[in-house]
Amino acid sequence: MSATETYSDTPIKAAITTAAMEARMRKRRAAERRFRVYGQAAVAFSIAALAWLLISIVSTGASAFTQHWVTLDLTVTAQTNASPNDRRRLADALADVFGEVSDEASRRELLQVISASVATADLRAAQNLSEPLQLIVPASDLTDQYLKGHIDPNLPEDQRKITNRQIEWIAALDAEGRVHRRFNRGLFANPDSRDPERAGLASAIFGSIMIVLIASALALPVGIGAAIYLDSFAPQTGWGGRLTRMLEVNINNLAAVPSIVFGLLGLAVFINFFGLPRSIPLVGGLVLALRMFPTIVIASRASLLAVPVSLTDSALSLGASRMQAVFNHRVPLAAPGMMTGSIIGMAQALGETAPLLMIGMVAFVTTVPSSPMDPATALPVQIFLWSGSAEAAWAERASAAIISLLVVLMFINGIAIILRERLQRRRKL
Amino acid sequence: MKTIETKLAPKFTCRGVSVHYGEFRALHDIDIDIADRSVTALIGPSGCGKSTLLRVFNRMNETIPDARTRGTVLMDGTDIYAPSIDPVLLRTRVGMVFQKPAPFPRSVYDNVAYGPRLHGLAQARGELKRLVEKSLRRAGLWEEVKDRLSLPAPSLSIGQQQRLVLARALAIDPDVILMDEPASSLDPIATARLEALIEELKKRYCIIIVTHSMAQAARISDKTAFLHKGALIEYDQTDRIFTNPSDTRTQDYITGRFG
Repeated sequence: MSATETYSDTPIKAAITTAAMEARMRKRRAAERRFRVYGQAAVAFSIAALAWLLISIVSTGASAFTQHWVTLDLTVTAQTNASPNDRRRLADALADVFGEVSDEASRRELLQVISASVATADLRAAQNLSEPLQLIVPASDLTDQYLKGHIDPNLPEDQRKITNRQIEWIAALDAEGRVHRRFNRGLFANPDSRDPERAGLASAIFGSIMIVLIASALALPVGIGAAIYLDSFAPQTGWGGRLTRMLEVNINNLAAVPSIVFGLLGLAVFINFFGLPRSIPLVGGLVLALRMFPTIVIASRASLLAVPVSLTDSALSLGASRMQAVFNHRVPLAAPGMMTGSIIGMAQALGETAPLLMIGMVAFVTTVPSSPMDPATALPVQIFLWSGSAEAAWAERASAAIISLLVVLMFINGIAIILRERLQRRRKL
Repeated sequence: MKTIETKLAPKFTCRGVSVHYGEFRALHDIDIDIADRSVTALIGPSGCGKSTLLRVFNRMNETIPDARTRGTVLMDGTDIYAPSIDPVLLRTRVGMVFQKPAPFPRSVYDNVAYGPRLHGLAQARGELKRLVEKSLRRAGLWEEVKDRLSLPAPSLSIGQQQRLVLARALAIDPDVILMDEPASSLDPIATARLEALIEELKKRYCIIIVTHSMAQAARISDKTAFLHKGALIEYDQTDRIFTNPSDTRTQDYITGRFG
């Protein structure tokens, strides 16, 4: 090692370095080098794990942000219109495009190419038109997956979901320029649906926003207030002091309670006792407020303890009251830390799944909630729901939902960092 | 212990003052009279209770959770531990400078203006500005910071910070200034400045100073109290304490044989 060489090369060093000392030094340097390697390995491992996670999610989910749409020109004839069956009427109208389809099996095969539920609804809405009708409908999840290259057409027909005839139809549509790939607005604008091509996160996003807002509105003032009280005002001696310390220990324990227990509590108290409905963001927010509370108290307490007592003492010696000393000097300096704790709590609440399952937010909700009393889901629960479904399109969408959740979390954390930096800069002046 | 005769009525009169921290007795049965417009030094080895005694005079011991104070402390004849006395108001009469300067993380100006703003001492516009200037001048800091009033106070040197917190204490116009080892973190030049300042300030204020430096006590104080293990061993004119102490423990301490 070069450092050792320079040591022994220097005559003065050589004079004061005995062999035993040199051996000890070598051991110490080796220990330090080993620790460095462990540290680097740990960092490299975490980066690799994170990269793996991100790459697998993004590679699965990125394609869900676009979707194929099909433009169809139909002629609704009187005869077609007379048909009592919506799906049949649609198949008949599609004859113009795909040629005559007579039997029920082929009709089903044909209707698997486009989003039949959207098309029938559009057709029903437009049935009185006598002129040619243009429908722009989403491709079915099958077509979408095929066009995105997620289904291998070279496999034998019985080993893939898409039939040869369907591939021909799609090719024909594509050749006529009737297939377009667009940004998937529905992913954010639509509520959940049975059809993957129509399913979106709107209910989950609004649900999550309302839950986090309600939880924060309750937990932030109570948590920060409790932390300030425990730090600066609660009795520290005698029986009162014992009570204070007991409270603090229990708040710390509360942070370690498994989150599903909070769900059970919410179920027992808010739903069974107070009779609030299931699946609503209000109950979700109440439960997650309880979950956030200890996190906020602990973080705020720690940042308050980090403020030097000398500042409060100085203020007191200038004739400030306890309240003034605490709120003029202690709280402002602790504010960045409190903020960080609160944001961590919010991020935690946003990602919390288990307690929401307990209070029934796992329901299939096809409406966008307009108030905290309407049924809704939350983003992590929606991911849970979608990832349980079999079709490839659901896996794609679940990954896209995870990406959305991560983006929201990064956005929230970004706001936290900016706010904290600004506060700290203002403190430094 | 013999009673000290003073010509003027004493600023503080302590009789039988004891302070306990929980089970620990920090001060035991102290009787002491502090004269106005003079410098009184409290000396003694670490843990002798001199800082505790200092904090008796502005009731700062009460900010320590399990501290209890017993006995009588009269300030200008009024019992400052009477239930009718609010410690917050007492502290506007008795300012304090701590061992380590703790400037608020605000501007120099805001540091000095904090007390006056708290107590509404400056009503008219410009009055606060004059008060800040006056306080900084008294603390001997004005010339150095007059162009830097909006700078953050923690960016000043330690010596300047110590004078800034002194100016901050002076701004609320107290009668008494308590100093807890104010020069312990200062270099010799800053210490000399501070001592010159104390010399100047004692014309207006009653100053009580805790110090570890016997040379400092000898230089600046009129009277010196020697405390040991929570008891007041000797309290006399400073020159007598340092030239002809009556207690052997005082003798041992000032000659450096212990402490």
